[in-house]
Amino acid sequence: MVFLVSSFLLRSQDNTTVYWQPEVSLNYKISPVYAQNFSIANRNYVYQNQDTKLTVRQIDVAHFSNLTVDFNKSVGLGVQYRFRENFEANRNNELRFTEQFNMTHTIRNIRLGNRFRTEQRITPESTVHRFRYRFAADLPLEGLELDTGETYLVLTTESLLSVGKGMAPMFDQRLTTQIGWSLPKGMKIQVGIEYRAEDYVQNTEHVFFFLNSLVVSL
Amino acid sequence: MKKASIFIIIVFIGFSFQSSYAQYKYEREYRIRKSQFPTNALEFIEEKVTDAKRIKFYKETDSTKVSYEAKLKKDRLWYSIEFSDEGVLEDIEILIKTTDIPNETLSKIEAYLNSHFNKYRIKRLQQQYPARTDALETTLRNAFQNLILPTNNYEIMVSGKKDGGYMDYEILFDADGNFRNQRKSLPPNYDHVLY
Repeated sequence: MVFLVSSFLLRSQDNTTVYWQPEVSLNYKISPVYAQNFSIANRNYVYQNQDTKLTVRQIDVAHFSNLTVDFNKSVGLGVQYRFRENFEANRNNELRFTEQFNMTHTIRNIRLGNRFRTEQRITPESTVHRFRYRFAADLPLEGLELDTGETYLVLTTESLLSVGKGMAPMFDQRLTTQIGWSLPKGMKIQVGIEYRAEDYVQNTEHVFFFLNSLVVSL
Repeated sequence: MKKASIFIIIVFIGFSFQSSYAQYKYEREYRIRKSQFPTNALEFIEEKVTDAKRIKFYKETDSTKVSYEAKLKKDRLWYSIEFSDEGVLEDIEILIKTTDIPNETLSKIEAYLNSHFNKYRIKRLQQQYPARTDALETTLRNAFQNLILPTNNYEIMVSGKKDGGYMDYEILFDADGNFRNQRKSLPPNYDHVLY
C-alpha cells in the first residue's frame, strides 16, 4: 500500500496531498442501548505541493451519542470542534453537527454496515451542508469471531455531497482499508490508509491518509 | 524530525503490546491449518466424509477445554464436525432453517423465546447430532442423512432484547423443543468502526 502511494506521488501534480492522522477514541455505555464516544484526532501534512514535510494542519475534538433502536440499527448525534486557526494562516476553526442513522447486516463472519449522515459545518464565513453515505465491511481475520488477541480488517467506501450558499455542489469519494488488533481490556489499535477523490466533478484533488488509531472501550 | 520519532515510538509501542499479551490465555476461536488438526480426527474425516467441499479447520479454547472443529459443505448443506482435544468425535451439526424443524418442536422453542425476550431474532440455527461413543458410524450416517431423531438437539444463536438491552445468546433445545441450557454471549465488540 505504501509502495502504491509512493509510486502515485512520483507521477503526481500539485493536486495531491498526503496526511498522517493519528486518533484516540474512548467509548463507553451509559445504558444498555445508549453509548457515548469521545475522540481526539490530529491531521498533519506529510506531502503537499510536491514537497514532503511534517506540519500540523488541525486538531479535532468530537463527541458522539449513539442510541440502539432495534437489532442492528442505531441513530446518533455528534458535535465536533476543529482547531485550525492556530496552525494555518487565513483558516477558520469549524463547529460541526452530525446526525446519523446506521444499519448493519451480517453474512457469515462479515458484517456489512450502511451509514447515512447529514452534517452542518459551521465557520464564521459560511455553513456547508454535507450528505454522506458509507458502506463498510468488517471481518475477523482469524476464525469466525473476533476474540482478544486477534486481527480484523475494515474496508469502507463513502460518497459525500457538500452544498452551501455561493458554492458549486462538491462530490467526494473515499476508500479506506484498515487492519486492527483487538487487545485486552477492550482496547484496539488500527493502522490503515485512505484515499479521497475530492471535488471529482470539477477539479479532482487526490488525497491520501495514513491512519493510526487507538480505541479504548470501557 | 522530532514528530517523526514520536510516530516511530507509537508504532513500536503498538507492536510490543502484541508480543506481551500473546503470553496470556483467552477464550478464543481461530482458524488453523490442516496440519494442526488432530491426526486421528483428520483421518476420520478423510475416511468417512466423502464429497466434502470448502473444508476449513478451527480450534477453540477456553478456560476449561480445547476442541477442534471442521466446517465443510456437503450435498449443499453446511456441516460442522466437532472433536475433543484428543481428536474424539463430539458432535456433528448442520446449518438449518426454522422450516426444517418439526412444527410442534418449533412452537415450543418459539414459546420459550417469546416468554424470555421482549423481542428476538434468530441469527443461526443448527441441528445437532451428539456423538454416540458406542456407534460413531451411526452418528455419522444419521447426520449425513439429516434424520430427525429423538436424540438430536437444536442449537440456536439468538439476538434478544431483554432488560432494555440487546444481547446475543446461544441456546440449546432438545428434539422436543425443551430448553436444555443457555450460554449468554455478549455481542462482538465492534467499537472500532463508529456505528
